Formats: sequence, C-alpha cells, structure tokens
Amino acid sequence: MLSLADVHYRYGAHVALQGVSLELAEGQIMALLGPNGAGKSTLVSLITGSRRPLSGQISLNGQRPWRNHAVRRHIGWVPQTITLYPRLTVEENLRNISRILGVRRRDVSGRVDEVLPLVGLEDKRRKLAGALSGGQQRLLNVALGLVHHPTLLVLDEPTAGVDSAARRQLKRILRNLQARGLAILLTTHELEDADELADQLAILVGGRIRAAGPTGRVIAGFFQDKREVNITLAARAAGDSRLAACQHMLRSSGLAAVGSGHQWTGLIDNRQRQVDHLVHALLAFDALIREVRVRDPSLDALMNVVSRPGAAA
Amino acid sequence: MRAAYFRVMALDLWRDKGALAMAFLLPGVVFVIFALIFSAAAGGDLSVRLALLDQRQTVESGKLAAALTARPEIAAVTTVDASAGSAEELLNLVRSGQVDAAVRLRDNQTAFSALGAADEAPVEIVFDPLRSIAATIVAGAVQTAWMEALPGARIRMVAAVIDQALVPFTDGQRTALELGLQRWDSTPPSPLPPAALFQLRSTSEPGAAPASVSYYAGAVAMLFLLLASLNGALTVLDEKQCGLFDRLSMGPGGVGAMIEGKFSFLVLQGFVQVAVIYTVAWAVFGVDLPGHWAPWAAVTLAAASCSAGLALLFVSACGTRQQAQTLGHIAVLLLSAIGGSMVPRFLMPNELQGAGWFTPNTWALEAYEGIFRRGENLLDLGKPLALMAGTAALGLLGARVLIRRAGR
Repeated sequence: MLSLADVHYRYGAHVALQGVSLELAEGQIMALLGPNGAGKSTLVSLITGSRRPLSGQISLNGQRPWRNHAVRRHIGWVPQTITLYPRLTVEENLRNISRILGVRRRDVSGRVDEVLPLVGLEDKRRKLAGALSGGQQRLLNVALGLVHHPTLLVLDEPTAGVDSAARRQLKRILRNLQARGLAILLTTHELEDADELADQLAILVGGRIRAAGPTGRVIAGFFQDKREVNITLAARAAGDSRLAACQHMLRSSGLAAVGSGHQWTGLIDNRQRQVDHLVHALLAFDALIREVRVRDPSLDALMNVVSRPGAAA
Repeated sequence: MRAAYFRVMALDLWRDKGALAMAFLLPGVVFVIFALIFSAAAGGDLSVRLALLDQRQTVESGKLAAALTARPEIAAVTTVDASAGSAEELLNLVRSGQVDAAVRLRDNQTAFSALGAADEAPVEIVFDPLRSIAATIVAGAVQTAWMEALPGARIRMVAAVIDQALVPFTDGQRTALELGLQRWDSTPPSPLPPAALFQLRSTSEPGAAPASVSYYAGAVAMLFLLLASLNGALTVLDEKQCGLFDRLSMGPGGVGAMIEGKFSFLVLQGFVQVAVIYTVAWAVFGVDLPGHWAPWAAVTLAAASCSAGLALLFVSACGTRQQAQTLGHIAVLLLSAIGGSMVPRFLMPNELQGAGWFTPNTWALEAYEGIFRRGENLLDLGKPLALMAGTAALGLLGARVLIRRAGR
C-alpha cells in the first residue's frame, strides 16, 4: 500500500529527512511520532504528494504521489487545523469538497449520506459548519478527508485540543475505518492515543527514523530486558538518615529523582533479576516506601529515550 | 470541479451580508451620489446662495439688485442692510459658508456705465477660493442682470468706447445721445434686439443623460470592480493559511481548477455589479443602456475579466492576507486615481492622462465613453478591449503559475 524507501529531503542547507523508509499496509494504523522539528510535516507533505523527495522512492499502490492526481485522489488528508468553509452547511461542505476532490456528480449524494453517520453528524447536515462546536468541526474535518473514498487516510494531530468525549468518538471512528481496511497514518504528540490506536509506530527524530515497526515489538525490541520502575517515597523530614540511605541506594540502582525527590523512576536491566534485588533491598526501608510500580517500558519511556540528544537508534 | 469552487464562493458571498452589500448595494449608492453631484455641477443646474448689499441705494442699483435676485442661477438671497460694518458682515457670511458668494453695490460714485479699473468698479463680488466656481456663476448673473435692468448703461458704455477709441463725438452728438438715453431711462425700455454672436450646441442628443452620469457610471464601476475582485481573490490566501488549499489542491483539478473556478465567479460577480450600476444609471438618469447593450456587455465582460485576473495575480504574489489586503487597497486607490475613477480624466494634466493608459480604469472608461458618448461599436473599441482581455489572460496564467509554485 504505502511504501517509503530511503527518502531524503532538505530545505536549502537544512536537512529535513535522511534515509526515511517505512511500510504501511491496508487495515493498519501507523502513528508517526517525534518532537517538534523532527520532520513529520515534511514527511506527510511528501506522502500526500505536495512535495517531491530529493531522492528515494515514495509509492502508494505502486505509484508516486507527487503531482499525480490519479494517486493523490486515493489519499484522504485531515490537517491539524480545521479546514472547512464556515459559512457553508455541513452538507454543502461535503458536497462541494467531494466534487473538488474528484467525486462524480452522480455519486456525491451517496458519499455524503455514507460519511455523515460515520462521524455522527447526520442531524447536523443543514447546520452551518461555523456554528458547530469545536469537537463537531473536527469530526467534519475528518469526514471531509473521507468523502472521496480514500485508501490511505493521513491525519495530522487529529486529537489536538479535543475534549475527552470527542477524542473517544474520534478513536472509535478510526478503529471503524481500520476495520474497513483503510490504511491510516497519524502524526500525534498524544502518546496515549498512539499507544491505544496504532499497531505500527514510526519515531522520527532529527529527520531520521529512530524506531519503526509494530508497536509492541518496537518497544520490546528497543528496551529488550529492561523494566520501567517507579517508586514513591513517603513524605519524611529532610535530613533523616534512613531517607538519605534509601535515596543513595535508589540512585546507585540507576533510578533518578523526579521533582522534590519523593518520586524515583528509571529503566532497570532485568537480565540478572536486578529488579527483584532492588525490591528486596527496598524491604529494608519498608516504612519509607509508599508505592513500587514495575512494568514493561511504555511508549512515553521510549519517546524520552529516543528524543534525547545523542541517543542511538 | 471549477463549478464547485464557483458554488462555494457564491454561497459564501450570499451568506456574508456585509460583503453582499459591499458588492452590489454600495456601488449603486456611491454611483447615485457621484452622479447627483457631478451631473448638477456639469449640467448647468448649479445654483448659488448669494448675499447682497446695496450701499448705493439708488433707483439704478435697486433695479440691478432686483434683476440679480430674479436670476435662475441664484437660489437664495440674503440681503444685508447698508450700515457701518456691513461690508465686513458680507465677508463673514461668505467666510462662514452661510452663502456661496456675495455682491456689494458700492457707493463709490462710479457709474454703472463707466469704463475704468476693477478696483473702481461699481460692483464687487466676494467669494471663497474653495468655491471659486460660485464667483464665475455670480459674475455671469451680474452681467446678465446689468444688461436686462440697465440697458441705458450698456449703450452709454458702448458709446463711451466709440467716443474715446474710435470716432470722437461732437458736442451736439453727445447732447443728442444723452437726451435720447434720458428719455429711454424715464420710460420702460423696450427689449434690446438679441445678439446673435453664438449659439450653444450640446454634443449630447436632446433628452440624453448628462455626459458626467455615464462617465461616473463607468468610473464607479471600475473602482468597485477592482475592490470586489481583490476581496474575492483574498480567499485564496485565506484557504492557504487555514490549510484548505492543501486539502483542495489534492483534487484532480489541482490548483489550476481552483484559480479558474474563482476567476469564473469573480467575472460573474463583476458583471452583475456593473450591470447594477448601469441599470441604476438607465432607470434614474436615462443613460441609454438598452440602446447599447451588446457593446456594453462585451466591455463589461472584458473589464470584469481584467479585474479578476489582476486581482488573482496580485494575491498569488503576496505571502499573507494582511500584506495582500493592505497593498491591494493602496494599488486599487492609485489605479483609480490615475485611471479616472475619482476625478474625470479630462480635468487631469496631459502627463496624468497619458499615465492613465497604464491602468484598467482608463481602458474601461475609454470604452464606455466610446459606447455612450461617441456611439462607437465593437470594432471601434478594439484597443481597450484587447488591453483588458490580454491582461485578464496574463493575470489568470500568472496566478496559476505563482500559486502552483507557492504550493511546492
């Protein structure tokens, strides 16, 4: 479906993308993650055919999208900003934009009737788009990206600034579209959404892919035998000698204090059951410990590691 | 696809009542205001509010004052009583704008038939330089009133010129002339034979609208065409800034369909806008639109296309809406000032009239003048039509290139 092989792009002297390679198949959701300035927007504009890569190959169903409307019409683009005509009704927006996106005149009504229930805006079809709530406008924004029956849906920060109810609805819609076989690429800073929705991850840092592949495998492969440990200490007076000894032990185990020093977190290699040893050692400070959490490393932990300057792939 | 862009712009305009009024109501209103002002100014209907002071208080000055007051170009007369300080009061009336001009019949012993310098003249006309046209009108009215009310004075003045400059009268002739004139002064004078020196002949057909009305119909139309086209073209930048442009450019028509759809809408909007102005000009002022509809439609189509093409090209070359809006309005005002949409071209110095040929306003105005004042047909209008059509094509092509480049 979507394939990128060794894609490079730069703006003048600034290198935006270096050797990016990705694969996305039908019915998959890929989360494209990365800090600001990582090159996500550039990558998306290359995928949607707005820009041409300096080198490398991008293909959608075997064809290059750049200035190729036969390919681009298979891409549904949902930008982060709400892009609609506020003085047109929901239906008028869908009708006119579907025509602009190449839907045949006789198919327009059917597409509108099909896409409105998908985003839950059937009862708003005669309402002016500008009079919808922010969440509803975002849903219409998604509907406008679907109205021409794309096979690849590209969403830029679809849940940014959306309340929790609209966010849940949006996630339901995306899962529904995934079930229909649509390939979905979403860029987001919301790691919880990415963790929940995506079955493929691509982490872009400094124009390079730092990690890519199925979500669970990427995290497991990156951290291997590491465990994420979070320890909360009970509030004690500063200068307590037992507290100081406990903190020393945590530090020497590879954990780092967060904030005021009562919260400790870190990744601990568990190949030689170091986590068990740490928990055992903590028993000696039983009265000082409020909570111990041990879990597989999260996407958050992965992002923290790969986004750190100088982090290796 | 182009039709979809057209529909979007039409619906957007229909629901934006402010923009709708700006596009179709305001031009008609502004045109009516301009037409009323300038048709009165140029059509001879201008009337003057006059202050009158008769310091002489003689039978002759009374006759002159009465004849002057009765002149049709004098709308209202404020009579100032002769007293100390009344001359100053007369000046203040003009300065304060309560009257347009004032006439003082001086008590300086100079006869109404005397030859001499202006500072000794029996009549003084006071005027404000801001309304100097009023002085010209009042001077004409005084001249006419003088000839009507004091025909003896007119003959005495002619006789004095003959006596002094051509053939000196003998004492006997002078006495006989004076006796005859005294008899004439004491009895009601019969009207003097009319002077057949000139006849006024208008270039307009009898009953036709004043030339200034048809001129200002074109002038106001071009000003608003450019403004409305600019405002419509700004939607390109709105769509770019909000991201719609990226979404819409993915359609099979690409940015080309977008520009062409907007161009079509702006041309139709402009055509309707000009049609509204000329319909008002026909219905209210009698401009013969039905008699010239075919060449008018061709010129209007060319003018609307030219404005739309220029506006899209200009907006495509700008980076932001704010930049385009500010620079665009400056450009429209400059083009309209030089091109004759604000002040008639014939009032401009030759250099400015020449510079006007670099503006679409002049091309359209010359074409409309050709149709409504010179009765020209489409073949005669080749030059302005070619200029407008060429500019429209270049503007459309340039806008497509610039927008496509900006989208990369």
